[in-house]
Amino acid sequence: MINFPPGLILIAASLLVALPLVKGSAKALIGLLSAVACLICVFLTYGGVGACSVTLIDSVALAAPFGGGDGLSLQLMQLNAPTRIFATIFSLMACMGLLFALNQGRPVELCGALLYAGAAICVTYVGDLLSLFIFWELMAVGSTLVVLDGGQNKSSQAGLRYAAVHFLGGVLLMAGIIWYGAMEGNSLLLPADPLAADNALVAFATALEDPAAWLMLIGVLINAGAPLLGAWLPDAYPEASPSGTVFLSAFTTKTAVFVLMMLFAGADILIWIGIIMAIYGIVYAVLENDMRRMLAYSIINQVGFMVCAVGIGTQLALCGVAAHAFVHIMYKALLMMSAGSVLYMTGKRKCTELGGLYQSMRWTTICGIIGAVASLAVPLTAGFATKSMITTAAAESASVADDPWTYIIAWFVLIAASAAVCLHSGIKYPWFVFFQKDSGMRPADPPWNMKWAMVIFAVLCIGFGLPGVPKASIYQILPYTPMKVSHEHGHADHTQDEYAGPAQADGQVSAGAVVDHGYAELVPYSTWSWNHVITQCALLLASALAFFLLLGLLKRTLTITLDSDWVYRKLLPQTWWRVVVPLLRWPGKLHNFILEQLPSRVARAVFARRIEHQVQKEIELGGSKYQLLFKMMSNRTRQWAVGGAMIVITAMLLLYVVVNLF
Amino acid sequence: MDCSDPKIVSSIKRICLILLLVLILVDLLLFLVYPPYVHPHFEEYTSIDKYSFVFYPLVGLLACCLLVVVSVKIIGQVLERKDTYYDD
Repeated sequence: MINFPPGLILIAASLLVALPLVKGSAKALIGLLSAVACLICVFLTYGGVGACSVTLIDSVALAAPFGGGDGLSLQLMQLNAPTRIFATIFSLMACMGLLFALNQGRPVELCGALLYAGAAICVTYVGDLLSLFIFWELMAVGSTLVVLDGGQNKSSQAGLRYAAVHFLGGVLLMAGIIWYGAMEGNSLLLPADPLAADNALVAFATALEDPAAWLMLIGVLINAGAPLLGAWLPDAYPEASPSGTVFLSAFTTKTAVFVLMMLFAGADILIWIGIIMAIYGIVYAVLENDMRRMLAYSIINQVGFMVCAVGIGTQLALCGVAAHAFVHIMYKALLMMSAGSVLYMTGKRKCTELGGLYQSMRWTTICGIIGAVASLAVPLTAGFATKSMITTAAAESASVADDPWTYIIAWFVLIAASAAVCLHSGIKYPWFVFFQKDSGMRPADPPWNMKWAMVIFAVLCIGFGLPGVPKASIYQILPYTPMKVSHEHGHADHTQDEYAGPAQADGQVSAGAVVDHGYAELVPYSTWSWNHVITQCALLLASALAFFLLLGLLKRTLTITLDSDWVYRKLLPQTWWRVVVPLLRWPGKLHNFILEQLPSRVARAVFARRIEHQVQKEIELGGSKYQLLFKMMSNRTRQWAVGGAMIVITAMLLLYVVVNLF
Repeated sequence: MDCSDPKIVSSIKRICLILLLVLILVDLLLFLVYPPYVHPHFEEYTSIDKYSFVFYPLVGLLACCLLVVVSVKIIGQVLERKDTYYDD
């Protein structure tokens, strides 16, 4: 019985790797072995976990608030509903990522990646909000190290911006947690089943009436990459190393999705945020030239699906989130690995500079195409078995909700967005990087470890798509058993009144509650039906046709598209240098004038005659007139240097005095 | 072989179109011959997806075209800058 979070193995390995005990190649091997050990431990937790709690403050020392006098302890091991599937894919991802990074020789990145992956796995096992926050921040530290050690031109700047945004998000999350915990009678314990009927924390968070809930939501959405908050994602991900981006693509956003599932399942606003994210990702990816930035936008697009499904909040929807996250990590990592291999072998990252690589990089091309095909959810790939759960859940909720049009619009947009995947990772990425015009480059395939990592993931992407395999594997570790309404009886003749969700304590039925199809027949979810296969293929072929028809419009140019990071990368710095600093310097100039130039001029005016006489004497002695003048000035006047900092401090003190007057 | 050759692109388009028409035909046949095959999702509100042999190909084509045109012609015109924009 495992009674410690398996992620701690990776965190311990990252500390070991940080010390100068072993040399570089051994460090990478230690990392890989610890990831395999972690994966085995995760499998061992399937049956159940031992308790693991750390008491920070016992009940004697602690008065209210926080736990109402029961003390404060961290619950580090709890088998939440989505824990098994998320922990499995995170540790599998850590293994493959470390295999891919085996030959990279970046110890800082390795240390950061181990910390990052370990903290992400620990997040999936937490039982209370404070431990969640601790591992959340450890993830931010680890991922910042990965970005900073990117080795690209702009890695350090991107890393600093990344750190600033993530620590801000952590502060907002912490503010929300503390605010919630400080209220009377609130416990910070996380319920293991987000859809269970009497969850005070989940009901509080989903209602989104209190600022504490909003703070927590915004803190989590920053990590999820929501529009306006998530500009850090396409900013930082391309600046990491070829192997660094593989790690980055997996954990932060999916951990945010996990937390959204645990706290905010059923919050309607997430449906709209998810829809906007899905479209936003496509629009920006269409315009993007840098291949890894385009894949970063496609992450936002796919995470939008997951966020929308969390908003739908039924059991099938949450199963869809978990399954889609599982498969998405696999195919996105595969795509990032192929992009990383191209970058590693050619040194180029822009679509305008690449093309025709299929001739020499056969393995990379095949793996890239398999990843692209999996992202499209073509039948016989892993995506086909999982993405449709979300659209089915949306359709089923539309039949029973008070406001069906939200779900109908969500269903429609998700179908359109899954067609439009070919505009970024589905066809655009492999076409522009490996085919399109011949760039003249003939790089070889990357080294064995990078090839093997790609091949293993490619095999898994196809393997999990074969009929029967998802049901035997992925569906067994989903948060709930995936069930859908049977279509044999039809449901057109059931009225609204017969659809009642579980009543809440006050008798109200929330729209996002578990839909009780008690009267309708539920059958185990299956994605394999003739209708689904044919319509999916038709959808994808139509969008492929659209892609090639519009190829002229899709040709890339040496441009970037402005995002919300423009505010802190251009607007604020320009305002500082062009408006604020001159304003700050102006009193300095005035001060300089009063204390230095005015006395000089007075001195010159008053002592002019005496100076002239002395100057005449000096000239007779052979000195320079100006040197003497300056000597005399400096004897009579003293220079007082006052920097801008003094002005700011003085202004702040003045403000403090003024404010305290009221 | 340079894949930006217009002949290659047009043959890809032709293959996609032929496969699509075949699938639409199969879908139509199944729709006519085997009624339980069809399950529109929310008939009481809209039967937009009842004729799946028309709905899905249209959604695929129109959604992609609309998104590309809006991205390149509208959003691109407003928000695109040279990729040295943020360099100091």
